[in-house]
Amino acid sequence: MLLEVSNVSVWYDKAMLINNVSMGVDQGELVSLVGPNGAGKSTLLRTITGLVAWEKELKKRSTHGEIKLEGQITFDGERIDKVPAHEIVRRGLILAPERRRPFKEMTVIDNLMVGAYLIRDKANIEENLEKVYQLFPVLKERSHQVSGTLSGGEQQMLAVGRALMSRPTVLLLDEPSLGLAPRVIAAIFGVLDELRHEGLSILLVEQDAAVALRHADRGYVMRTGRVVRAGTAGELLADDGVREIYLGPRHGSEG
Amino acid sequence: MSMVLDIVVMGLIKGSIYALLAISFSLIFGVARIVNIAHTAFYMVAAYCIYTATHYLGWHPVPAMLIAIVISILLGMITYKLVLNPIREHEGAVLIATMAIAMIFQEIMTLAFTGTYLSVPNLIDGFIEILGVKVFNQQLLTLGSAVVVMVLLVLFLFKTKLGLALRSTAQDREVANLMGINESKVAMITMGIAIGLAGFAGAIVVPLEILEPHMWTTPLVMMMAVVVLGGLGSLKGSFVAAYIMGFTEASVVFLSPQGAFLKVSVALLIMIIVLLIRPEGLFGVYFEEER
Ligand SMILES: Nc1ncnc2c1ncn2[C@@H]1O[C@H](COP(=O)(O)OP(=O)(O)OP(=O)(O)O)[C@@H](O)[C@H]1O
Ligand SMILES: [Mg+2]
Repeated sequence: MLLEVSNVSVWYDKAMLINNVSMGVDQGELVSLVGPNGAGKSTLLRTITGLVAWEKELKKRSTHGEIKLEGQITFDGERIDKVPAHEIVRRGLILAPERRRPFKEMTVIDNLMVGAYLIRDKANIEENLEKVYQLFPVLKERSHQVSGTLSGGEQQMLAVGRALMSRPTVLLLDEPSLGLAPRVIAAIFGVLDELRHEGLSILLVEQDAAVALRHADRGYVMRTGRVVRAGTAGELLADDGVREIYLGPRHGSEG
Repeated sequence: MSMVLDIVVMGLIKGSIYALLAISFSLIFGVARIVNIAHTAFYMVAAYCIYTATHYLGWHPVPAMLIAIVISILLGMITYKLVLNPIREHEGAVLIATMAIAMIFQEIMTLAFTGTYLSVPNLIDGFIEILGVKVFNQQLLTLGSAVVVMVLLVLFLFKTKLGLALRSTAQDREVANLMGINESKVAMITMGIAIGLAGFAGAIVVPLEILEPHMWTTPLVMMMAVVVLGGLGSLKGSFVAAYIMGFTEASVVFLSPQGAFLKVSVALLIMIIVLLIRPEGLFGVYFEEER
């Protein structure tokens, strides 16, 4: 597989947040990773992108707890679990983080430029920018607006746009639908479908399993740090067990 | 009338020096999350470098200034690498360490130069008369170069790629990291630039000030007051607050010469009054929580 997570476990102090997880994303696939609150989905994405390892280094130098990491992550056949977080994007892997995290006091265009930070060639940057503007025309209209004043939907588009500015091979998305109106969610998923048809590999984390799986090729279901189900999107949608995991703790999407 | 002009000149000079110090202090705080108590101690070191170069080595003041700034930048980066980076996540340790660095510099200067008051020659002599008031060319030079450097800093922050890296790291270092910015390296570069700015402030002010090993303490208090008054983390706030404090100090000195020793107290009093009305400072910004 293009991106492969093998037997990864993560502990924050004594708590085991990721419990021996193995999963992967193949070239050109859209894979959905679903599961209820606190399942460890975001932690897994942060582990893949090196942020957990980075945090671990910081914690070593502070007095606030410690992190333990185990397992192996490969990308395009090479191990990336020891690659520092700021080098991961160079390999072609990028995350649009949970809660969007725009650089709030910076303009939309500056946010996008940070996404293209490692690209040296100006023409390439221009090309990527055109592409992002074409996918999200509203970002072009607002390019000189401070991003903290954008609406939630626009901020999500900015988070995805910023990630795309690096021309990734695999795009990791953490809950892009969070708190958005159905119309905006549909627009964002429309773009994801489009990107996938162009050959981008996507790992999508969502709480709303129905929406996420409907757009996916395959899926994984996580719960309390473990992968409890894996299969094609169709299999998982039809699986009563999956529905139960969901309807138990949490029902429906936000209003 | 002439007193007004005196106040304006001194207020502008003091304000510009405080602005340079406060902005560079805020840069380190914002990007590297270090409260650098030693900030004005580096300013003092730069001043002594100039004294050494001009007095003992017989250099012209201009190359002496340049060397002093280069030494400041290197000292800043070395201090970051060796002392601050390993303890950066531990706020208490950083406070104590930077305080210790300041004391060490003070003691080294006392040993090397004793505690006597020293002075450094002007870069340019002479004066011009504006509305009957003598304004020394050195004062104008200090003021002019401070303003030029601040403009250059703004251009650097807003027009260059490295400036973009600094700004984004200051806002959310985790996401900056994700986008390929080596935040630890950016923190070290910031430290170099900011200490270079502090050194520059020391270099341009030293002909106007008395050189002695405690010359870092009053500017430290004023600089911190400026940062708090302007709103922690706001460069614009630091800029505006610096001139408020500079003019306050100048007004006290000229309006009641016998009460000149109260200048810092009055400036701090103004800070307290503003903070009672606006606790977040003049341009207070909220801080991005990290996760
Ligand atoms: N920095 C941290 N320190 C300690 N515990 C943490 C930390 N981050 C997350 N956790 C815990 O790890 C567990 C998994 O969190 P995570 O954010 O990965 O879940 P999630 O599946 O993304 O949930 P959600 O759908 O609510 O976003 C939670 O119980 C959370 O409290
Ligand atoms: Mg999450």
